[in-house]
Amino acid sequence: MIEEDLLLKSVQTALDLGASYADARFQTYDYELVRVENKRLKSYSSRTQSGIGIRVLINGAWGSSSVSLFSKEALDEAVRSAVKMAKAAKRMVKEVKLAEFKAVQAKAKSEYKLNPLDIPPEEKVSLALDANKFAWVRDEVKNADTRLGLSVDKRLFISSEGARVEIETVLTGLSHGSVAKANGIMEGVFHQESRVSGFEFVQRFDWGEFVKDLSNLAVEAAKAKVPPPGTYPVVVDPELVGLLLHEAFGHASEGDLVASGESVLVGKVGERVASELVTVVDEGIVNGGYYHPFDDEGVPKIKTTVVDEGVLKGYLHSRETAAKFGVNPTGNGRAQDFENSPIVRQTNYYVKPGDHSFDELLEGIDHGFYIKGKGSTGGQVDVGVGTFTFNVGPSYVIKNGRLEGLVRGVVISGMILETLKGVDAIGKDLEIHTSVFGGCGKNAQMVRVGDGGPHMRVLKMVIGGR
Amino acid sequence: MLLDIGNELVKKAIELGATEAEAFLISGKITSLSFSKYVEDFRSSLTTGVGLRAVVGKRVGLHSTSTLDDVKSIAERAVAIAKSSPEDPHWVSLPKRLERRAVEGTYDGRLVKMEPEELVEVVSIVSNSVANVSEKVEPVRSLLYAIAGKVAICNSYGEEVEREGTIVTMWLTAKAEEAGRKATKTEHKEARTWADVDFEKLAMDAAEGALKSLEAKPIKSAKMPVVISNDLFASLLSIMLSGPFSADWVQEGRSPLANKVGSEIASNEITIVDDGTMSYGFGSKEFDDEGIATQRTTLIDKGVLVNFLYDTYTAQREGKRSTGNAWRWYWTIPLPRPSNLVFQQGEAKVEEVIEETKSGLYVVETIGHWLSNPISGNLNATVTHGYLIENGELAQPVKGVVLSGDFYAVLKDGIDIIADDIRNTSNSYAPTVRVKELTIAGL
Repeated sequence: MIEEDLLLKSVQTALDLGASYADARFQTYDYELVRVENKRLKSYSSRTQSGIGIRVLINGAWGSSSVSLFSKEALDEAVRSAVKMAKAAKRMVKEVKLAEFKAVQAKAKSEYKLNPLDIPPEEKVSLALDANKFAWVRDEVKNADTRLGLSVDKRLFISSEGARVEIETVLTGLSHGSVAKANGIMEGVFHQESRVSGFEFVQRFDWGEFVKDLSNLAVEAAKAKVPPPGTYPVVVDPELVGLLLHEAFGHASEGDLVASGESVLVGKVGERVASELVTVVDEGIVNGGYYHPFDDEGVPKIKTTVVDEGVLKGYLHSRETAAKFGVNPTGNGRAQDFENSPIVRQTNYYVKPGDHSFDELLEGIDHGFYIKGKGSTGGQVDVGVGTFTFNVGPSYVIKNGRLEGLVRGVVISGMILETLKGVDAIGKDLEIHTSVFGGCGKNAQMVRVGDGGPHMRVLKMVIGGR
Repeated sequence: MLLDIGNELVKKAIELGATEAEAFLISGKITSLSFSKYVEDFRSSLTTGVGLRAVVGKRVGLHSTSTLDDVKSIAERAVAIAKSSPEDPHWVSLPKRLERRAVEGTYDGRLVKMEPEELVEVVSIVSNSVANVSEKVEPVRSLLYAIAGKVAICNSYGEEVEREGTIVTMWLTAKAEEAGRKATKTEHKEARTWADVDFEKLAMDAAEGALKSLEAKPIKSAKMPVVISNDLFASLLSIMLSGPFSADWVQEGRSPLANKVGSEIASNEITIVDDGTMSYGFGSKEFDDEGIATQRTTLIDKGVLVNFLYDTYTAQREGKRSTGNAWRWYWTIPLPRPSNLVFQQGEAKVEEVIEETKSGLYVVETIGHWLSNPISGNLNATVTHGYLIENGELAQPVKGVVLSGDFYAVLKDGIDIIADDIRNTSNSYAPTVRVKELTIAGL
């Protein structure tokens, strides 16, 4: 492979120019998005992004660069540019050290039968058009937007320590949003299902039911009330547990945010940070999640127990943050693509299941809410202040231990640690999800993640309504 | 050079059976410096990309790549996708005439020539300025971007245009720590030229904001007047109105503003325009992402909805002219989007807005506001930085409460004072405003 040769030469050039460490990443990312709106093909976009990213460490300072050109001259220039930046940064760095680990030579490939890039475009267009037809179940539905997403991500990592890691990940999925209008109120509900799988996943899944459900939910939501604001007990569904945990706790456990002193989890290893029912894990390969056998520093992703029965065990690390804490890297140094540098990111972050049935979770709640992830547009956390906020999907009122009417426009917020300490029961189910349409954003980089958990009951949650 | 490749791609697509073709090409250098007290990462990316739109009759396909050298396979893929797509009944044609308009302040030669040492020097000044405010504060997770790029567009009608632009953005977070308590404050500036960024002011504001926030706490749930700071209001406007103003949203039934042209949707003090020609505007450019000259388009005139934003496709669907608002990534088809969304300022001084508020909340920073729903108009945000207003003066710092309301009701008769301090968050411009009443969910 000509690219591999270029990577090896670039790493050598960096060493020749004085680097104590260098790595180079080659990536080819193919992405197809077929969008059908209101029974009509809106767009078919196909994209191939490829290039090489270089990173050098000189006198304890990083310099990085990238190009989408594959010539020796272009790569030499990129290396020189990275070296120049590292040298310029030197006056303002705290010496970067990398945690030791044994360099790996490995090849990993996610399982798939049908490479989505080999499927004729016609078949993809029909699949999306067919799914969209199911949206028009009621007159109140005003808009239906269906997207088929397919990606093939190939990465090759080479370092001056002799590492060589090659990974291929295939991800496919379909998203749908229905907008309904009832009594002058417009409400939209969007959702998606993706799998680390070839085209066979989208071929087999029952998109008709999926799309119909979303249309019905949008109509019901448009007719539903916005709840009065206040603090209530809630049961959180697995989808939302995943979102909430990722944003509200996961980010705070990222080693860089701990090292910078921003995270509320600074200095709390060994302390109780959640109810003793809560065990939190970050794992590279798990059913329903994203495929992450190695990170973008060539480090194998080990299963990291972040919280064990309520007690904080450790943080997620890149090689750089692991060195700061004097621990082993956990395989969480991830980059969006070759144009970005690896930073500490979650992989598949989830809560382990407990022993309650769904009905048992509802029991004992006189007045509360069953808050759901479907239709949620996501959330955000301020890891410094410790607050999180989430827009949740259409949800249900809980009255005397039973589900009652639907509510819309629910926003939840709270303080990270107080919320997790307030978990008083955990369901025995477990769901983990990933997405080919989005991911997690941090420092202007987006990476694919997985998240999830069981149903959970939280004693107090701030619900913002109107 | 970009146009040479573009014209070759267009020619190849036509040879392969396309009836129309258009190439959209970008090249640029993105320099980013992430820092805390120290430089964390210093990176430069030379980035290129091309998106080829191939049209066969009324069938449209697009293929894009980040490498510009394999003309034949890009054209083959785009044409193959077009041929296997169903006809689009609304398709008329690609733009037949490309034009540019002179716009001031979109390119800064100084930025392009900056050496790595100069960028490190500025970041070091910023870091010191933060530390000089108090030993309790330091910068964390901050980011400086300097971007210089070119866009070239050409099509099978023999038309071509090319533009160059620069961007500099700074996101600075200061962290304060005292007696086990922690607080942060983020300040930002997005500009076209280096001279437009007052780095030391950003540093002072972030540091002082973080110190004040150490005292912040939640308040009880209430309904009260809320003063929303200029940059936060700018970002809310962009989230709530960018989509609904787009002709694409209107035509596809997603916009709550559909069928409302000519009607009063806001109070008569409110005028909102889109202006792609504004001097030094963050989203200003000589032509849009299809090669149509940018313009100034009034969207809400003294409360009355007068127009939407169009690209060529959506304009052709209604037999209109494009408003020069096509926007795209190189790997997507164009869609209408604001160039610079401007909420025209009023005459009040911010101090007066506060003074005239007997009791209320002044909100300067929130998280999660981007989760608000432009379709339903549900406005939501969690306040991370705010102040209670008591008898016209800023009092207790506030955090951790949720703000909510109906954005369209706020536009209609909710805003009772508009300040004169317009500024931008990205390509959205707004002044500080006072909303008569919003719901606060707190303790």
